[in-house]
Amino acid sequence: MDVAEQTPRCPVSRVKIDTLDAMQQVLRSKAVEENADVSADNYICPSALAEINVREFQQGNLAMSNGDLHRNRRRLLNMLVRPEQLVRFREDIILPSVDRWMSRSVRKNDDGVYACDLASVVELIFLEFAAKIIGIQGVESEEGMARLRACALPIFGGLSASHFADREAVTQAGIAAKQVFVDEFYRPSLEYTERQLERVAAGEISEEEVPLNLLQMIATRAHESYADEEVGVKEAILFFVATTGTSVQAVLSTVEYLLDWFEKHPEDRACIEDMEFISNALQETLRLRAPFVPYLTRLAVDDFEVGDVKLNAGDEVHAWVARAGRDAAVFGPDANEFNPRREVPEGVTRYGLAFATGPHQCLGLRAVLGNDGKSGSHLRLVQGLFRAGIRRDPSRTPELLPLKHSDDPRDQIPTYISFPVVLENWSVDA
Amino acid sequence: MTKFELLKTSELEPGEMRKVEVGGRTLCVAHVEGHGYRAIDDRCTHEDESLSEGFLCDTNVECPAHSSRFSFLTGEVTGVPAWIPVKVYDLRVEGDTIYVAIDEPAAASA
Repeated sequence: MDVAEQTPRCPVSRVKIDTLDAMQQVLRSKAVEENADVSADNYICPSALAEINVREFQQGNLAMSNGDLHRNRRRLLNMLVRPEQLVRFREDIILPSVDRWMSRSVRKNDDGVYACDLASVVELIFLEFAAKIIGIQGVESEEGMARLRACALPIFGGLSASHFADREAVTQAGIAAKQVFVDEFYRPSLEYTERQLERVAAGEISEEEVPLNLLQMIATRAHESYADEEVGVKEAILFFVATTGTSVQAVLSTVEYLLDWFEKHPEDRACIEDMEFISNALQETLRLRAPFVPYLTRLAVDDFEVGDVKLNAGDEVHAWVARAGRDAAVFGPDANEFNPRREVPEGVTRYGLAFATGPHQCLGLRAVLGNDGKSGSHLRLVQGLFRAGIRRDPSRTPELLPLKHSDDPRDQIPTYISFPVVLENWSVDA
Repeated sequence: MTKFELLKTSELEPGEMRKVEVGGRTLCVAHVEGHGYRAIDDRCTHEDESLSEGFLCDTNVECPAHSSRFSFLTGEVTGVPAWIPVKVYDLRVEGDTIYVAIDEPAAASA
C-alpha cells in the first residue's frame, strides 16, 4: 500500500492496494462503495470536464449504484446471465456471429494464405453480442454495424475519460457518439421492443418472440428507475462498453499467450480440444492482464483496516487488479508468467480478481466462462481460432495503444488496436 | 448432535424452497422432486446472499444475485462464480414433521 498525494480536500487520501488478500477484503467490505465522482477523477480534483463525464456517462448506472438499489438491480440484470441465457447467447448469438464476421473478414493475402485482422473481427463479434444483450436492432448488416462501431471507441472514452490525456476532446467525442447511439440505436430499438410487447399483449405474437434483453427490461419497467430515459441510456452504454472492450482484449491476449505457449510446449497443441485447458489459459490471461485498465476505484465510506492497508472514511481507493493477479505470495515466484498448468492454492480463483469481487463483481464472468467454468462463449471462440490453424501474420506487426510509462513490469498490459493473423486451416465453407 | 423441528411436511410442496432459522443457523430447505426434503446453509459462499430467495433447478439451488449453483444432494458447487461448497444437513421425516440434526448449534449463519 502507499498513501499518495494529499490534495486540496485534505485530509482525504488516495490509497493504492495491490495485493490479492487486501484487495479481496476491501472490495467485499461494506466500508467501500462505487462512486461516480471517484471513478471520473472528480472527487479529489474536481473539474468541469469531470463533472460532464459523471453526468453524461456514469451517474445512475448499475456500476455506480450501491446498497439495496444496486442489489435489486443487480438481481434483476442477473436474469440476463442465468444458465439458459448463456446457452442462448453462445448458440444463437455469438457462434453465428463468429461465422458471419469471420466469413466477411477472412481473405487470401498476397501469399495466398487466408488472413485477417483478428482485433477487428473479434471487435465486430462482441459488438454484435453487446447489441443483442441490450436489444439493439439492425447490426447484422455491415452498414448498421459500421455505424454502431463508430460509436464504440468514443463512448468508451466518454465513460473513462479520466484515463486520457486530451480529456476535453475525448469527452466531446464521447458526447457526440452518445447522441448517435441514442438517436440511431437506443430509441428506435426501444420503440421496436415496445411495439413487439404490444403485439404480445394483443395476442399477435408469442412471448418467445420478444427475447429477454436489457431493452425488454427497460420497456417493461422491470425496475422503477427505468422510467427515466437517462438511466436506461446509461445502463445500455455500460453494457455496450463493458461487453466489448475487455472481451476483445481477453480473447486477443489469450491467443497471443497460447501461441507462445505452444511454441515452447508443442506437446500441448492437442489440448485445444480440452475445454478445461482452454479455460485455464483464458483465466491465466485474465489474471495477468484484466481488467485491461490500470486500476478500479472505490470510495471509503467507513474506516477499515486490513493488514497494512488502512482506509479512513472519505479516502479514494485505487485497486490495482492486474498487480494483485501477479501477487507472488499467492501465485508463486513465477506469478508474472503465463502457465495454464499452474497449481492454484485452494480458495483462490485462477483468474485472480479479474472480475473484481464483492457486490460489484462483473456481471460478465458467467458469460465468459460459462455456467460450469469451461463452456463460455469466449472459450469456444478461442478453440475455433486454433482449430482454424491460427498463427501470427509474419508480414504484419500488431498495433498497440501507447502505454503510460511505469517502472513496474506488472503494469505493462498491452491493448491491441490490430492483431494480424493467418488461418492455415481456414475453409471458406467452415 | 441436536435434533430440531424444522417444518411440517405440508408446508413445503415439491419444487418449493424456504428459509428456516433453527438452532442458531439459517437453512435453505427444499422439497426436491425425487429426492425428498433437503437442507443446506442458506448463505451463498460466494457473496452474502440468501439462496432460498433464488431458484430451485432440478436438484440444485441457484443464487438470485450471481447465479452460483449448489447441489442440494452434496453441497458441491455446480455453477460459477462460487467455488466453496455449502454445508449439507441431515433431515429426517417423522410423521408429518421434518427434523434437522445440527452438530453445533451456533449464532445465525446467514
